[in-house]
Amino acid sequence: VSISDLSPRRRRVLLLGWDAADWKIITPLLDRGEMPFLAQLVREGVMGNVATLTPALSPLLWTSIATGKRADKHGILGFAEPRPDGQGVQLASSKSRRCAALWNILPAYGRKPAFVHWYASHPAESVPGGVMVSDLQHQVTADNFESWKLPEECVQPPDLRPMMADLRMHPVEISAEQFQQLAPNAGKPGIEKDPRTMAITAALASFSTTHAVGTWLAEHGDWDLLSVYYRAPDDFCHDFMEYRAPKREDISHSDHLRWGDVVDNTYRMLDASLGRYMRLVGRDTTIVLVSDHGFESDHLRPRGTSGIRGTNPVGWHRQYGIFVAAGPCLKKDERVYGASLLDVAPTVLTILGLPVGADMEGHVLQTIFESPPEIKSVPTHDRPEVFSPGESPAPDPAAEQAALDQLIRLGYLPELPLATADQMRLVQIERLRALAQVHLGAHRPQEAMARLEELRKLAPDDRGALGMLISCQISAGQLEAAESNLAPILARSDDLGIWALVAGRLRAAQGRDDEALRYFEQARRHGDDNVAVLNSIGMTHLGRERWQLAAEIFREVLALDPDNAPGRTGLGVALQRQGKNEEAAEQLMRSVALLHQQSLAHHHLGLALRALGHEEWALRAFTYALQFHPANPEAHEQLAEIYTRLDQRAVALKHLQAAATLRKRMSGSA
Amino acid sequence: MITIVSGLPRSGTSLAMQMLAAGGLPVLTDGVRSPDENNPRGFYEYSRVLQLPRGDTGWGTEAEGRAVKITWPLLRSIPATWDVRIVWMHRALDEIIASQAKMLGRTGETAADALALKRAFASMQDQARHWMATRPNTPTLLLAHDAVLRSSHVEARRLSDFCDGTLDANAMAAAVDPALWRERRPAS
Repeated sequence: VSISDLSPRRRRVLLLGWDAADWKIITPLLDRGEMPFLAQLVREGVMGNVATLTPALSPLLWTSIATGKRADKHGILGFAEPRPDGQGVQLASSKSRRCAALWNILPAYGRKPAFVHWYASHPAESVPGGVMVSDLQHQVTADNFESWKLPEECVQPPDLRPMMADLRMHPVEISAEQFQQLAPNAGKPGIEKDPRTMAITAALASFSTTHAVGTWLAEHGDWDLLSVYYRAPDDFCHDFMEYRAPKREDISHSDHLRWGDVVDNTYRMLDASLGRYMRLVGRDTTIVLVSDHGFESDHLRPRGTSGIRGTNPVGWHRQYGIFVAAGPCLKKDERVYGASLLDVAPTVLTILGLPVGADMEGHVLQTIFESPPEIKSVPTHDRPEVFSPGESPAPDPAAEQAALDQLIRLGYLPELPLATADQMRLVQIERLRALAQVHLGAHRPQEAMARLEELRKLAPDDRGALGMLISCQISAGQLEAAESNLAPILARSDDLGIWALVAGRLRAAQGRDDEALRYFEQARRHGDDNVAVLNSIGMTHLGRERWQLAAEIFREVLALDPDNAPGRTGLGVALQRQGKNEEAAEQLMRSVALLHQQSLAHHHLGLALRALGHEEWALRAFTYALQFHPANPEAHEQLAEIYTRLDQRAVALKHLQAAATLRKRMSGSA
Repeated sequence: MITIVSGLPRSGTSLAMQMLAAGGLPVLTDGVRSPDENNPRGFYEYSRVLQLPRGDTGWGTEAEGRAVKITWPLLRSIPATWDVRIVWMHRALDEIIASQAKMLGRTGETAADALALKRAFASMQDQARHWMATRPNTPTLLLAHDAVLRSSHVEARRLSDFCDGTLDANAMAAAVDPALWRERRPAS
């Protein structure tokens, strides 16, 4: 069935968001028949990984899902942001978004969106013909625990307020039975004042409210796109993943017994919820299920607690979320490869028969459709008749902070209490860090470095920022700058602790391999992420053309984590360099299927495919390699050769010229 | 009706307050911040304005029928229930930044990086424009600082008309002292 043959009624989409959902947890449950509804959806549709973006912070990611753009474009840079009056911080607000989201786009084409609990959606925007229920609708805080007044501006249209107030579930309403479904071995809730029982009741209440609102709209709402975001899975993972099997040494037997099942039971509960939606929306509606990132759940769990107040909560987020889609015009029982969160909005728009914004950063996942979809396009949806960014200026945390500080010094803004000032500064620092990571993730190291320099002015002692800056400088070939930033640390001690990995990478880039390997050994002793250290060692060997040794190291990486894309790429490169093209192509294809945006993998895949005689596939691989890293003269030369063989001499010439320009520029800068 | 004079700090809000006062509109000030080299004719400020973001809005009744200076971003903290009209002072950002730098320089302090400030103030102006445009029933008059100094009679007439034509435009124009325009942007 082609989309264009579908009636508007059959072009409806239900987009469900399960924060942090991960195939590593789901697959064994599917195999045991414990998630029957998801199993049905997978059978009747397409499924695969979806690569997250950096930084893997939910407000940024869910806004990218809804807009098709990275955070530097959409403007949501964290959980919190400075209040616009400069007097403290607030939760990330819908007013800070700088581009159109799906809920703005649909009404411009006479279609009706309904969005529930999406991050950074408060105050709820008015969407003609649609419904918005903001992420504050279900919030229970210490201030409103008793009164539980429905926050102002959390529902659009406002006449739905009474219904949306009624559909909420308060933590005190969670029954013992509900609690025990999640934690059957934990005893009764409320018997003890264990914060973990409180965490379960709070997350269960949030889940129940989301489910009640979502299913009520599914049943009674008039919508073309219903999107319901569930935050609870991420909450449950952060609070309970450390207790899950396999039992860790630092977890007591009794805690493992009491809390070890909570995560898996959360998934069983999500499946039951999915089943309810499937019954309500019927088979005519396309269902898209997506998560923003995964969650480490096995031997790769980081040390320490998974709790959000731990030292490294984001370190528990795995790079791959889940993507499932089933509907009248989609393939059945197929895999989708190389999907990114940025692809969700363009794909959903295409299913709805609406145009994709050419300025969106992802692509329509064309391979999921039974027959090639008609992809309509407009230059942008950020037009005044669709979305007016209004008071949302470009996010520039360093400049904002400098201006607010200056107005306080001049007496035009009141002195902030010390705690508030600190809180503001902290939020601005984290926004800058997020912006730098966004640029890094989009392969824009120069912009990342500029943001990190600004960050370091606000927080000169921030070790994370310095580490990132040095890493950027190494990637950009600014080895002297990296050396001078690292020198004071190198001078302090022989045992570099957390700096050993970055020191090793610098030495490797400088060609001082022996020192590099010594530092990498230090990093392993220090307990750094083994996979990251091994990848660095492997890359050092690759750099010195020690292909066999590199391959052995990357195989070690893959034994630890078969889904590690850089490790698989490294192995593929080492094999390709040894002339083992068939094996190399297999490894590299698996790698780009995991993570599409890898220039190195596509480049060597192209080389392996050419050697195997698959010129047209190689053409595609080199094209991707250039898309993700345009300054690659060899890829241009390879393409020139392929196009010459295909007798497309004009295109071949263009590539030759591009290669020559790049080589000239490189020799000039050398 | 409260007449609010607003704008970014050092955009000429005190100048507008002087004009309104000279034209006969009562002004709400408390003299806590006394005239100095930065504003030789006074700041025309009311110190409780600074507490707006913390919810101190009880003085709204005192401001009724008067003019009060509330610079941005404090302006956005006024209650939605206040019946106001807004005189927004616009001044070139380079001049605002130079004026603030001079003010800080007088106390031996250093201003923040001018480029960063320009980015931040430009975005604050966008925020203010949007906020004023979307606040229901809020008449707004935009006065350009350089126009007031160059054509004080014309601008004073506009200001008087905005305030229902009840003010003495000649007296308002006479209150303008172009000699105080000290932070001209450098010639490009």
